[in-house]
Amino acid sequence: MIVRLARLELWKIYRKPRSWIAFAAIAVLVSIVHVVIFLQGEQLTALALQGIEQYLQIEGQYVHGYLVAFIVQGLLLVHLPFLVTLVAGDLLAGEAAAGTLRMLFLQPVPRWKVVLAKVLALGLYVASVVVFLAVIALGGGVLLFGVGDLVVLKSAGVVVIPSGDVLWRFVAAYSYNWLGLMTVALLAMLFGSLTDNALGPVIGAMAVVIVMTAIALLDVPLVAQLSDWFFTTHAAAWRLLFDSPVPTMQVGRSGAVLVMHCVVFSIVTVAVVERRDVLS
Amino acid sequence: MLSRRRCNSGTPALRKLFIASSVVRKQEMDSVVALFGVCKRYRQRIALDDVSFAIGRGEVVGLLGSNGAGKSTLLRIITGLVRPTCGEVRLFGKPLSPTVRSRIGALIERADAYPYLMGAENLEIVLRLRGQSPTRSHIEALLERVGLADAMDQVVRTYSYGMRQRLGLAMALAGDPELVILDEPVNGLDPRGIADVRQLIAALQRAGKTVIISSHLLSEVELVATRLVVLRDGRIIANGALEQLLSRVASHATIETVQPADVVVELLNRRWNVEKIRPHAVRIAAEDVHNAVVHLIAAGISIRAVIPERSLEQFYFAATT
Repeated sequence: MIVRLARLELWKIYRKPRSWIAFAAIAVLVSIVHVVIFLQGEQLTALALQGIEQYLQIEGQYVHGYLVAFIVQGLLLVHLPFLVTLVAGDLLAGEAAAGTLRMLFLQPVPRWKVVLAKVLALGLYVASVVVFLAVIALGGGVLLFGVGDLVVLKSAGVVVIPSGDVLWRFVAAYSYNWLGLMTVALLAMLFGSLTDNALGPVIGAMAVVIVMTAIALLDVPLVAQLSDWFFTTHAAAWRLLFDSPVPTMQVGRSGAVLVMHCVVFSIVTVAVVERRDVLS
Repeated sequence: MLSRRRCNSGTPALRKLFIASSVVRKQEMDSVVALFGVCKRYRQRIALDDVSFAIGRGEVVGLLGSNGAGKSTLLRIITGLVRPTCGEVRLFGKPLSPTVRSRIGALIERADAYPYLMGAENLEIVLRLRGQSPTRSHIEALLERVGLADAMDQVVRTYSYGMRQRLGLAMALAGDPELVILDEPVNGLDPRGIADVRQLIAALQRAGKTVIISSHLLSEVELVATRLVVLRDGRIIANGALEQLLSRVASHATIETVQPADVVVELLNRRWNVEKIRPHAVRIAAEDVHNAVVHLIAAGISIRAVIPERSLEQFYFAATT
C-alpha cells in the first residue's frame, strides 16, 4: 500500500512544473561554474593558493573534474536546500491550498500512510536531484576537465587525495548531502502540515536554516553546546569525507544527528496531520 | 456520549424504557449514518451543538441551513475531515475507518483537483487510492456519467468551474460508494448540469444508495430529497420526511371537485376568500380548508382531492427565521 501510494506521490511530484526548477537551476548554476573555471581556471588556482604557494609545489593538473565537483558542492550548499523545500513545502501546504488534501483524506487511506508515502516520494525526489547534481557536476566536470589528485584546502591545512581514492568519497558525500537535504525538506514538510500557504513552509524552513547558522557562529559556550545539536551544524559534515584519514566517528555522529532530525520531523508531521481538521 | 450502562436493575418500567431506548439505539447503530450528540467548537465559536440524527439506507437527505449554520462542518465531521469536539459518529454501524470510508463518496464544498493533471488522471488517482487498478474505459465510463468524457484528456487547469464540479462528482462516485455526500453539488453548473445532477441523484436513489445533499438551491433539494435536516446556529431545528415537514407550512390548498369550480366558488365565497384556478379546482387559505370541505360535503359537492400548496422555500424561511 505504502509503495503504491509513494509511486502516486512521486508521479504527482514529477508532473508538477515547479519540481523541475531544481534540475534547471542546477544545470544553469553548474554550467556557469564550468564555463568560469574553463575560462579563468588558472587565475582561480592562483587565487586559491595565494599565501601558501611557498609551502606547496603542485605538479601536474590542479584544476580538474574532481576539484570542480568539490567546488560546486560547496557553492550549492545554500541553493540546494532552497530548491528542495520548494517541492517539500508544497507536498502538504500546496495540497491544502489547492483543496486536493481534502480529496486525498476523503479516500480510504489512513492519513499517516499518506504522509509516509509523501516522505518516501520526497526522499526519491531529493535523491534524483542529488544524482542529477552528481552527473552534471562530477560527470560533466570529469568530461570537461579530466581527473587528477584532489587538493583540498582546509583551515587546518591542505589535504591531497590521490585520484584513485576520490570517487568513493564523492559517492559518500553525495549520499550525505541527500541526508542533509532531506532534513531541510522534511522540516519544510512539517511546516507545510501547519499551514495552507505553500510559500510559508519554504520561507519558514529557510529562516530556520539561516537563524541556526547565525546562532552557531556566536562564540559563546552555551551556544556551542546548543549548536552541536543543530542540523545545520552537521549538514556540512560531508567535507569531512575529504579528510585523510576520514574521521568516521565524527561523520557517523553528524549523520546520526541528521537522521534523528529526519525521524523527529516525520513523526511530528504525522502527528499534526492526524489531528488536523481539514477546513480548506 | 450516550450511556453504555447495562440494564440490570431498576423498576420494570425503567427497564422497559431502557430496553426501548436500546432498540432505538440499535436501529440508529444500523443506520447508514448515525450521529449522537455531536458538537464542534472552534475556539470560542460553536459550529455544531448536540447534533443527533440517523439516516437510513436509500434515503436522500437534504441538509439545509443558512451560511454558517454548520452544514459544511457537519458534512466534514461525517466524512472524517474534521474531528468532533464531543459526541459520536457511526457510519454503517461502525466508527469511521478506512474500510468504512471506502463505502463513502463525497464532494465537499467545491471540487478541487490537481490542475496540472488531466481530468482522467485525477480520477485515476482517486480510483487507485480506493485500491482499484482502473482501465481507461472504466475512467471514461465514470466521466461519461457526469458528462465530462469529451474533456477527459484536457488538463484540469483549462476546465471551467462547471467542468471541475462535474469532475468532483465523478470523484465522489468513484468506487461505487453506498453513501454519497454532496455539498453544494450544483454550484457553478449551468441549467443542463443542474438537471444532470438531479438525474444522477435519482439514479443513485434507484440503485439503493444513500445520498446527503446540501444546497442553497431549495427547489433542487425539494425535487430530489425524501427527507430534510435543517440546521440553525449549529443545532438541528427540523428533521423529518419532506412531505411531513412541508405540510406544516402550507399557506394555501387546492380543492378539486367533480362539480365545476364556479359552483364551488359561489358556495364558499360568502364565508371565505376563494379563487377559481382551473375548471374543477379552487384555491383557498390553508386554515380555511377544513371548514370549507365540511361545508362543501354538506352541500353535496363531491371532492376529488385536497392538495396543500407548499414549497421548500416557504418551509425553509418559516423554519430558519
